[in-house]
Amino acid sequence: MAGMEAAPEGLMGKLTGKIIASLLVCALPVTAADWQIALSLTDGARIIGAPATVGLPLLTTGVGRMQIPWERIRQIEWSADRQMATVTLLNRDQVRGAVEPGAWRVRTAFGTHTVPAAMVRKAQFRPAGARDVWWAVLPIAPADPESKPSSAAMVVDEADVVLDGWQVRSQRTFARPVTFECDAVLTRAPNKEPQLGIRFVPADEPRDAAPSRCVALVIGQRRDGRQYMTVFRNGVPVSTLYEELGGLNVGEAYRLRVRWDDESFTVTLNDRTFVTKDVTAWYDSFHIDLYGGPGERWRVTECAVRP
Amino acid sequence: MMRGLVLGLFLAVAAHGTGVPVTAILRDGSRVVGFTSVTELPLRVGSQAVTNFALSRVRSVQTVGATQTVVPGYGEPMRGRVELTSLPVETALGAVLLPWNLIEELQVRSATAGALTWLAAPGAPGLSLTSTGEILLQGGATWTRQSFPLPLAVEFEMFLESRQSAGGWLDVELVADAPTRNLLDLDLVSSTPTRITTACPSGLRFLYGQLTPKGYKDGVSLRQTHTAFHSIRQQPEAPFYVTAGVWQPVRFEVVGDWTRLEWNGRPYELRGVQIPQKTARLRITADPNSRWRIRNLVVR
Repeated sequence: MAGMEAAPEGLMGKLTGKIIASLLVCALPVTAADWQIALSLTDGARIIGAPATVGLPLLTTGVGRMQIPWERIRQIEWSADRQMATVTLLNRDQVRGAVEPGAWRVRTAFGTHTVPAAMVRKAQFRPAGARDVWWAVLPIAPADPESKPSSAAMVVDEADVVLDGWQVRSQRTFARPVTFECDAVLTRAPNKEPQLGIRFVPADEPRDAAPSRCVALVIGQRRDGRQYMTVFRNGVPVSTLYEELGGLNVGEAYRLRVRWDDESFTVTLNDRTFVTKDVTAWYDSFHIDLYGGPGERWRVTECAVRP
Repeated sequence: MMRGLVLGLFLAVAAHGTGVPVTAILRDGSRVVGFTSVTELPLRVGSQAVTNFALSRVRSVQTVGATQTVVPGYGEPMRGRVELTSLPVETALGAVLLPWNLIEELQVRSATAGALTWLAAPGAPGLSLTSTGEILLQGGATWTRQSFPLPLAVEFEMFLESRQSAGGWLDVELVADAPTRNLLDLDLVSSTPTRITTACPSGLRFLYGQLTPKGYKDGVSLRQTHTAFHSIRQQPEAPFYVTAGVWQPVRFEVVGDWTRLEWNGRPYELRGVQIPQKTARLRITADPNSRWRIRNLVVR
């Protein structure tokens, strides 16, 4: 990625950077064995495993028939009429086309199974070993009175959420050591102090009040434009990991990874990693909460947890 | 008896398939949906005793470490070790055999899911049902055609669209399956829902009100008509607030001589309950000022 940072300014520079980025993505030493496929089916099932075929056969209008290797794909989503599918590649380029009918062979923990393509509602690809995080909206009224009532759209697809004044909590609990990762995009910021909070909430906390006793990470921006990442314990800041990181910009994607083991807290934000020590907790089992600042809207996707 | 009632605001088609409907969450996050032919769940408690649970009466089985916690449809959970090596499940993909050690949680879907018939008085206002099975109430009342044996648990999700200045309430009650003779004002010929409610053995009410200097007049009550009225609003333990605009899961149990409500992770109990019937129907009523929505209602 150093090549990207050194790319010259200007249109040519941007184009060069994009080409280099694409080449880098294609050149990543990724094999199919490192990746897992997660298929959301129309009957509510979710099948996780490794594809037993070479790639995705796709019929595009421009290029014609092509086969995309599974390990180059990030996500496949179908249109409402299922005629066309949008295939998002690892570098976020998108290809539209018709997925050829047939069945996909998937090696799962409980055997190799054939999944009819017509039953697949959504397909995601990611490094192996991740667990989905399924969210539920908390009954805590938003601080911003203009926030709309929560709806099914708030939890877009179990693992993807839009935070529009409402807070969400993971449906299941986790234990340390834990790594939580997600993609976050700030899509609305009415003021200059946006923030995104991640709370690790003891399992027995009620759902209808913001917990005062928990460990939390807040990524935000001060009014002067300086960005900060602060770890809180029971509402008291333990440490500020970094300041002056640059602003939080509307429309920009932030890849966030939070690792919490026995005592240390490691936060990776867009490939920059910060560590703090002495973040101890008195609880073993916890939910994960997400929340944004008043009036803001965050779209948080591809949420996953790793041990 | 049913004269004057309108049948079938909706009658959803019961889930197809044979066996017990289950959803298995595996350790890798897979979710397998289908029906299992296993009807009994052997649970070893201690070194000797093995208890066989009827799987259809189980709500979920959760694995923590090497042991499992069996959460029954109603009543207290039990911890032990499930003596199954695998679980056969008939899915949309065909038959699969799930090794038991891969299963992190087994959820048993209630046979009543989507299969309840809701009744209402003719021309009853303030009540409608959506194609997705949601019940919308604004001053209306509806009750099930089916009756259920006690003890039981009722699970559903509740949504208050917006808080009105006049306040409001939602009642969820177990009503008598048939009129009893020991009620003074009961007309056995033209028994109406209102009079059935007179024989209401047990129920719960969510209510919200205006902001006062002491806080919001919000609360939830577990009730038993004629024998007890127990408000469980617990100020100042936690500010009770019925939040509008969000789906909230509710679980209401009537077991033995106690009723129990679990709402937003907080348990509430009322003991000393006396229920004269062995079966009951479910009745839902709302105030005319607010719009309440109910979905995913099941009886266990």
